[in-house]
Amino acid sequence: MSILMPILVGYVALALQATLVPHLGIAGIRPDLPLVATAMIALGRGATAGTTAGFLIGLGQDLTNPAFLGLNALAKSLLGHGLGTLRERFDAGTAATHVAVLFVATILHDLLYLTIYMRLVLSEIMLALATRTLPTAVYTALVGMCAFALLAPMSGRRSSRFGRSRIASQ
Amino acid sequence: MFRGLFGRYRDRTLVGVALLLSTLLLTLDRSLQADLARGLGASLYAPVQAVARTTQDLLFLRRENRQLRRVVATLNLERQRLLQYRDEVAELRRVAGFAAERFPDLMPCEIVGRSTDHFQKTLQLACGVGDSLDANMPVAAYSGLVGRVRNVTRQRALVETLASPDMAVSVRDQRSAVVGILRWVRGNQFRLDRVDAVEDVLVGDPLVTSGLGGVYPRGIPVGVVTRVEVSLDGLFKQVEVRPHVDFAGLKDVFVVRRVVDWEEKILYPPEQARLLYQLQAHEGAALQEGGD
Repeated sequence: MSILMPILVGYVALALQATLVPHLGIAGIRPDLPLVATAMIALGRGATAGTTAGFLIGLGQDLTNPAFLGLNALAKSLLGHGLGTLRERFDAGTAATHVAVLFVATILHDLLYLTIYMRLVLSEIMLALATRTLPTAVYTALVGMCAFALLAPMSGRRSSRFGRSRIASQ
Repeated sequence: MFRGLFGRYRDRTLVGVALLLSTLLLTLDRSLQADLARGLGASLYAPVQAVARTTQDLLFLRRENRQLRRVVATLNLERQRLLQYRDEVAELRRVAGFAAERFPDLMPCEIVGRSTDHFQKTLQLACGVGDSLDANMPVAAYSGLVGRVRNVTRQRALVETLASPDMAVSVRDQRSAVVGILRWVRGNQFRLDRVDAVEDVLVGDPLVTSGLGGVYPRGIPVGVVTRVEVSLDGLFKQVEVRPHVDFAGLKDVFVVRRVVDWEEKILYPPEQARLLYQLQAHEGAALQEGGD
């Protein structure tokens, strides 16, 4: 059961990203559900699960776009590791924290992604960050907050496995 | 040592392995990347796509069919007029000694997969070698050019859209006949390169494929000019372009397999020709039904 839940969350996120999310775009801006799933697993289960989930979810995303196979896997495994490590240092159980974490995580993820994708052209990277990443980060954070709230009751705890920090659980 | 790596330093070892594997994947040969993605991607996404397609079919197919009948009937009326003009133009071209106009042979293909991140734009089609598809064939939608086929297997084709850093298309200003190279900039924004400062390009000009370069046939709509400025050195024009196609909203596309003579018996196989005549017979009724 403990392994099944992250696999399910990751697969559902990839499935929704491929099918439902294209219909949720606002002016071409869409939430990044695989990133939300990676953050959920990393915050709930730590760096090992976060890194593994990030790599596998990112790879799943890369399979739809083989031109840069491995780029999402790289960015999301680092993100999973970072969030999994950070969860011990702050209370990740509140909605405000989820929004803040997802917002910053989207920006850092895209910064790494764009650095490779745009082949280090700084002006293009900055422009893409301003025009695509910032609105995407806002959208992802809001959608992610709802996902955290939805999945919290499923874990059967007041503070979800997907948002529990070690400090909060003490 | 292994106990340390996978015990105390497990997290760091794992992230190292993930980085190593990701870098390895990134540095793979492009065709190998495509093969790997196709094999694994089909297994991962096939069940999801099947469910999504069935749901979509159930919800929208009847309404869409009704609307399409109306569109086909209207297009058929337009077509009848065009055929008259075609014969006149063909006669004029023959007298002037120009080659006869040719027409793209289109293969409709359903989109069964698309890139899921918000930067890259590739599409996967449910058509392959079995449908006479080949690499580098142009791909268009109802509204205009989409991109080109990058590689093909027996049942699938991967399409690289215009919104890709590696794509460059030779296009022509339909009003002034100025030719330039269209490149993706970001999001839904494109630019037209190699346009001299003295050349005649205005905001609102429609752009179509020029036919130069040998990949895209002449005359496929591409986009419209949205901004024109002279560069700081005064030598070139900076031309911004908005494509006709909304890459995120595409459902079906058409692969241009070849260009053929503009003759009804070549363009329409017998089964489609029969359907066309049936529609012509019922066009009045369909128009009436669609208008209700």
